[in-house]
Amino acid sequence: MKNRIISSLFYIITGFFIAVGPSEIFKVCNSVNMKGPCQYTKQAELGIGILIIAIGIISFLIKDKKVRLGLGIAQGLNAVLVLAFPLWLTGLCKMKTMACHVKTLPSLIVLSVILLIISVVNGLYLLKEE
Amino acid sequence: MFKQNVFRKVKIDVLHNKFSIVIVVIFAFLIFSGSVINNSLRNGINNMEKRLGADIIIVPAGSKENAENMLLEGQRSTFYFDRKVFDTISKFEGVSEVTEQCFLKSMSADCCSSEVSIVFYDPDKDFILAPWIGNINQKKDTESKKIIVGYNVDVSKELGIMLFGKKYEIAGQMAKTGTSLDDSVYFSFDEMKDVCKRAEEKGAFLTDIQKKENIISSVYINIKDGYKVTDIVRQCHNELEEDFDTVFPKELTKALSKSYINILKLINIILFTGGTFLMLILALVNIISMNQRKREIALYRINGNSVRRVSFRILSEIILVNIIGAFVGCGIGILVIIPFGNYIGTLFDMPYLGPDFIGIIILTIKAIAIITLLGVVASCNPIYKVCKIEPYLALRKEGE
Repeated sequence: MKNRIISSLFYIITGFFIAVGPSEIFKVCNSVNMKGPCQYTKQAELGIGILIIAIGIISFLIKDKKVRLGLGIAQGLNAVLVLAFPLWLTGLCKMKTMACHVKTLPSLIVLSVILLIISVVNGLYLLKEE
Repeated sequence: MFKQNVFRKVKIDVLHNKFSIVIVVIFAFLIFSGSVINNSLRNGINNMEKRLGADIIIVPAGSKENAENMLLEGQRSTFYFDRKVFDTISKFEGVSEVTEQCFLKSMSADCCSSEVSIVFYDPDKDFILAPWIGNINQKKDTESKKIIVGYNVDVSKELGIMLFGKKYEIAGQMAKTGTSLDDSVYFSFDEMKDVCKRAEEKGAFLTDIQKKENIISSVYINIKDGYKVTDIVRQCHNELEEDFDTVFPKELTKALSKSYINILKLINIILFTGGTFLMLILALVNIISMNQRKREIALYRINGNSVRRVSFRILSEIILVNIIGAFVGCGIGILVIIPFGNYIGTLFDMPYLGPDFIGIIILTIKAIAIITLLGVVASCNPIYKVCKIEPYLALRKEGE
């Protein structure tokens, strides 16, 4: 029960920051005239963030450890996806001094690693409990 | 019991070790981030000194402040005078090297995000860019319509860069300077007419002065040995027809070094006070833990182990805890400080050049070594004291 609450809470918090961060907290570049690639990354992160929150809520509601283990693996893969968007899939602006490189990318790196660590630790814990 | 694995013991003795590890993690994080920030700022300043590779810079009258800003922060501004100035200065006595540059304006390249500064330079006489590009044959490359780009301009050698509807090949990319000079594109002066024409065709607004062919923004001068800066400035005053300002780059670094020293002082104060505080807590935790383990240690002794052997055993436990904590602390440091490097640079408003992979490893090893050493120092005394107590007394006291 304790593990279920703590891990789900962590998932939901990191998911929230991933979803809202690029548009509100560690904002991507503010371009009025043209859409830079970081704008698409922002949209994509919103989607993944919501997905991470949803999986977090589901893993809180479900008691079965095997299902939660599976959800944990999905969260780990989501963590990779969080970084895959800015680094490879949608990309960021070309200049390394722009806001998306200076603020957004480092924050996403930190959040992604935190999510990965949580899901790995939680997964190991659940495997041990089995 | 004595032969019990150190690793297992560390795992079992969770309560005490958890607390110690948390302290060590914070301490490691402080040391690692302090040294990374310190190193990066120092590298940034060293790099800037390298970039200010001229003794004097001559700029048009009234542009001194702008030119200084360009040197310090890499923010370019437009100011021009006639090329005659360069020709006159070249003939001065006591000038060892002289080169000129012309900054046109900042424009977007193939995409909105990539606004680059367009700069013209003289590949034959250049000594400002050369140290940054390595051994590329600039003359040959720029002749074949190739250009030199700053570190941040995101181009691959094969693809080149699209500027004003024309694709240019990249001859070389400059090393990182840590300022917005990293966003510049350098053309040869021969290209000037063509680039201006294309820029105008693509809708870029150029002023009347910018449309002239024989304009330059600044003249960089290196002085021969045996001559003074004042000799050159005097000749400039006597012979130049246009009004001008002089910038002495090496004096600018002095001001910056001063603010670096202030930041360094601040980092050191934080490290020192934080470090002392944490070390005191660690020493206290060790004393408490040693007192709690008196009985255990006494049993080791009764089993025939020497004071030295028992002390060594306890010390290795503490070293292990310290190394684990230091690793985690440095890991957090790498995760937080390294990616946010550029952001930290903008916060301090100073040139910031983060460490490379090897630099990170060296700093991590240093931090781990310092923490382990301090951990040992903080625990030596309590360990020795407890191990020295007669087993009989220790057991009796515990019993009471």
